Amino acid sequence: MFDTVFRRVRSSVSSRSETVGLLLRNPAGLAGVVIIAFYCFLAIAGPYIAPYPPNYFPNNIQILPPSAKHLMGTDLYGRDIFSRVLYAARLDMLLSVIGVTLSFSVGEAVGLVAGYFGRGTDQALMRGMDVLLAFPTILLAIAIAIAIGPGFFTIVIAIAIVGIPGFARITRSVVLSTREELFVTGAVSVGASRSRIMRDHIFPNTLSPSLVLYSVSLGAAMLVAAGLSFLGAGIPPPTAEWGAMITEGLPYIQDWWMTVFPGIMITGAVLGFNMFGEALREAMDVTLRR
Amino acid sequence: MKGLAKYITYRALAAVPTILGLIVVTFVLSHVVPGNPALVVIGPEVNPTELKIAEAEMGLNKPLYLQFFIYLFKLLQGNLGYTYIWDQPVSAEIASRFPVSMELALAALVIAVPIALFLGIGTALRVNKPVDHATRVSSLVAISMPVFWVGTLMIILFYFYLRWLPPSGQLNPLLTAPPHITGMMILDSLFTGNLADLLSSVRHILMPAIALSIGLIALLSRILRSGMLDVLGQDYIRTSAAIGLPRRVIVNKYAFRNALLPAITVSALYAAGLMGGVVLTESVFAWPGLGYYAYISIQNTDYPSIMAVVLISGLLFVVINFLADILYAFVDPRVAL
Repeated sequence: MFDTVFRRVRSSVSSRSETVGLLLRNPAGLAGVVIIAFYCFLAIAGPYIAPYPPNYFPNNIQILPPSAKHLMGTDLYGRDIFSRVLYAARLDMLLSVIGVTLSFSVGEAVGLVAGYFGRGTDQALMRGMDVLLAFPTILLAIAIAIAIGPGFFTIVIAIAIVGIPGFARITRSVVLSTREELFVTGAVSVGASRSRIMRDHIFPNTLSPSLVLYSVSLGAAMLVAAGLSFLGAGIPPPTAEWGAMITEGLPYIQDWWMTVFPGIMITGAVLGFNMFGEALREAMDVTLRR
Repeated sequence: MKGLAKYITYRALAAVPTILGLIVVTFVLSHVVPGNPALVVIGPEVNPTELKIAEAEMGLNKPLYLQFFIYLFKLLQGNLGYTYIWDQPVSAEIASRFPVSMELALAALVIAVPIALFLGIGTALRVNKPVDHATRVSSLVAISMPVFWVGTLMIILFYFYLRWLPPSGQLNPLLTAPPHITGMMILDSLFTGNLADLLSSVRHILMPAIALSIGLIALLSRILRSGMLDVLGQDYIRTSAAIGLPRRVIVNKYAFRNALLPAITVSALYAAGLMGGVVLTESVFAWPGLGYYAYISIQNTDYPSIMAVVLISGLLFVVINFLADILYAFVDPRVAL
């Protein structure tokens, strides 16, 4: 009974719709939403729009510049780059979304436990996170990818692991400040259990800052996936992946379309996630301050 | 001063568990490598007895915790393993390549810092003006591009189409390299007064250094901008404006210095990202530093070398952050109290 009295009025509907409103009124936020929607569309519909299969080798292999028949030209095996770019959208989006969702889940759990239990648990967990943060992202990802061996899930795991410390840190800091709030003290005083306090009172408050990080991390994950491909520890050929496509085109600098188009695709996606994340942070800053 | 010494000791001790953790992580990663590391070293076509001998030599038949202590003990002696690709100890390879990477990173900093200062302060003084928005959008785009893609575009433009700059390497291969003094080509040719080498090495470093500096400029200018904005909103700034101090004095003397503080910490934290950028940039431009070494090692599945570079860059990050903490304490003595 008292419990419900003290239950935190979670970000009420009005403030949530306010955040969304602010986000969409911000040109960067709107652009971010549009770009992300576009990439989601490509990830779903890409293979149906693509004029050729991703690994369609014509009989006479020719490296062709962009034309009406091949909008983005053809690569060194004569494959249609436009089609491959479209097929790659699903793969690259999936890699990032699955990887970052894993980082989010594990990081959130680590941050909650570290922040709530404090002392030794906190020290041990956060020192562990410091260790992961000390490695350059791409090198840690490479080391993980090499240790497990190449493949889709290797890259997902590499992306997931390098992203954990960020989520853990941000969650922990929110837990530390929320723990001192009156509604938590209230819940403790009416005898709510630790797990209940964590689940109902502290956890919901950690979600907003994590959401910002989630968006930005999706972009970062795309860059990691591309970097892994470039360094030779990514998705093995002949699968169409943007980073791998850039890498395949590298020796052919006179045929610029091989590297330029997949790179634009990556940059666009990362930019969309970054813009969205940034605008979201600003919108939340405004609504939280009220 | 006593407080500072105590603070430094405390910071140094706090780094020890992190360093141990780094070693544990690289140990674990290098021991879950699929397949038999002994096979990787001596090649797949060997008879079982040779394999047994190799395994014993590498300590692979011992229990894992013992292997870890052997690994740790070797590390303390500076032994990072042996690279069969380059046929020499990994530590020698790393020692000779370290200054090469250092040169590139420093060159990127030399380019990035003045531009970032200019942009960061300039936009802070013109908040929400067109310049500010344009800078923000361009820095968002800059951090959204894969650095190796930017490098490739630069090669296509400045080498292939314009023929302005060489696409790869550190020096024109027709020239003799200057004698090894610092290991940094530009400094060495400067010290020996070798103008041809100096010109060539500067031309070679330009593209990779610019590619590497782009992300740095975006990041640093943003930190400086928000730092400046925080400081400019403080009471003492308003007071100094009220008593009629010229704007230039307020900005340069009171605001700018305090805005630098967060930049120190954030730049140090970004050091890991910079090192990651170094790996990718060096690989694109065949710049023969640590990153290129890592790249070649990955292509040749030379595990000891890869793990050594991973470990070294982790250690470097810890050292840089330790130094940044101390620098911070010097600039802002309150933290050591």
